[in-house]
Amino acid sequence: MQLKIENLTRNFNGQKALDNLSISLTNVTSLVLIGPSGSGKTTLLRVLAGLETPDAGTIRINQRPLLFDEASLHSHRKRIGVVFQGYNLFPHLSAEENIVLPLTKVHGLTREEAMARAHTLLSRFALTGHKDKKPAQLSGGQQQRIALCRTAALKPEVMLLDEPTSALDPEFTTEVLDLVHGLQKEGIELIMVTHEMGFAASAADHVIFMDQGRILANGRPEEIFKNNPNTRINAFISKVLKY
Amino acid sequence: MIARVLEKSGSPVNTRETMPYLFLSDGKEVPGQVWGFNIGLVVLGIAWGVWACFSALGYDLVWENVWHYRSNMIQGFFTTIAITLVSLVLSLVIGLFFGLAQRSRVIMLRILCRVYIEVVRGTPLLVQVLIFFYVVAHAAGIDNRFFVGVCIMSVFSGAYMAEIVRSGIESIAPSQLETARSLGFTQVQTYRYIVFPQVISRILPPLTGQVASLIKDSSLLSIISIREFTMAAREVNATTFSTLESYIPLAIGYLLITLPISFITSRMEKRYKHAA
Ligand SMILES: Nc1ncnc2c1ncn2[C@@H]1O[C@H](COP(=O)(O)OP(=O)(O)O)[C@@H](O)[C@H]1O
Ligand SMILES: [Mg+2]
Repeated sequence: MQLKIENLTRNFNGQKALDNLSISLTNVTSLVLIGPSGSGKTTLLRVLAGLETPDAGTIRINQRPLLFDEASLHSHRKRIGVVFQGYNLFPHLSAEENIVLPLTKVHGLTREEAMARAHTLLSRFALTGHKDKKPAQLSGGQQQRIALCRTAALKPEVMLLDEPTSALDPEFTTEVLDLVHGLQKEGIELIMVTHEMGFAASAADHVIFMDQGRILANGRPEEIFKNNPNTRINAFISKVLKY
Repeated sequence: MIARVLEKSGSPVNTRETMPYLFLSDGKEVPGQVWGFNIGLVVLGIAWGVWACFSALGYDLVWENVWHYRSNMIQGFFTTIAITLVSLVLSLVIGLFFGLAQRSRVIMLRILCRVYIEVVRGTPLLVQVLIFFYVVAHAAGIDNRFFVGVCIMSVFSGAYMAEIVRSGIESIAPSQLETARSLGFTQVQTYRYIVFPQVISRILPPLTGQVASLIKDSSLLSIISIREFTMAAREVNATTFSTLESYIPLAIGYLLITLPISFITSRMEKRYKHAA
């Protein structure tokens, strides 16, 4: 993907969640955002998802400018996939229906086509046995994997993931990250916020370190993680990796 | 108490075995015959109370006069059912509209909703009936009493329904609305496919409860001489001077409608508690 952000700013009650942020990237397939809590990662992701309107700045994803009128935002949201950290599934629908509903109602697929897509993904990730269960009958890890499948089924141009494992019990982290890895192998491009440094180092081809609404450093994972000259980044990374 | 004393005296005693039919449920499933026995006791107690009251009154029930006017009572009964049914439909529409409009982006509409709901819920139905009848209906030139009654009950019940709808919609976590938005659902689609299916199952029990209130509350329409069930009983009483013989069938008639409804309500509450 190509990503070009210029002078992006977003204030909340006078506090700058994004502070004149700019970056230009080409040929990135997996972009990982790291940084301390409150540094603006979620806000950036929400702006990219078309869920939040910035106060100033421009964004281009794959050459296409992101416009902030409601009609453009709506069609933008249909092209971009999002998975939040919490529980994303609709509780009244089975796992399978959670995947099928947006395909038929938002993307205009027939029910058969939607079912076929859902079943392909569910069997690819060994979730077929859970397809008729309601979210309440699934573990947190299973729910989050279904949510990832639902987004992947939409064949989004880019998939945005905001700490997809941090609301889960630690035992489920691996299965969710495995699925993300599987999606990468299928060619899905993603931008992901995570505190899983091991995953960031191995799965990302570009890492952005954010602090106080700005980008403090960005580069290939080894540049960011190994012997970074910036003491603040080093301090953050060693704190996250301490235990 | 007895069980505890026995327990202290040495041999451990199971309350359930010593007093199998008496009063205490220990949280386990209560067997059918125990239910039956206890229900029987309660019914006997009530019957004794009623009998005691009547014998203190020294009043002999005479049913002949009232029986003569039974068709008036039956007609009133069905008028009440008709008023309730039409008002139910209208008040559902009103409730849905005002329940949703409180989330509207039009600020005036939101204010209007609050005013309507607070005024209706904060004043006695009796006052509303009189004001509507003597002021609103008069000004609007409506003289069909059945229609006036239906309007009053719909406006009254609609305010309560609106509150039920509003709290139902608010019980949907905002994160679900956000997820729907991120998936590209429009506002209308979000309500249709995500919000309503969940809200309906949650508000069905309180809504049916509201229907029972609607039936009872419609008895106040008798003060503006709408010939529903209560009015019919009052008229029969006025002609026959048989007060109790007129009003006992009235109470039974209302129970005939409300008891099945509360049975259905509690069934639904159980069902949706498990579904949610
Ligand atoms: N909806 C909001 N209302 C008010 N303040 C917000 C809102 N969203 C984010 N913020 C503030 O913006 C800053 C950045 O938040 P966020 O983007 O969530 O950071 P991160 O995801 O890196 O932890 C924080 O100080 C946060 O309190
Ligand atoms: Mg965040």
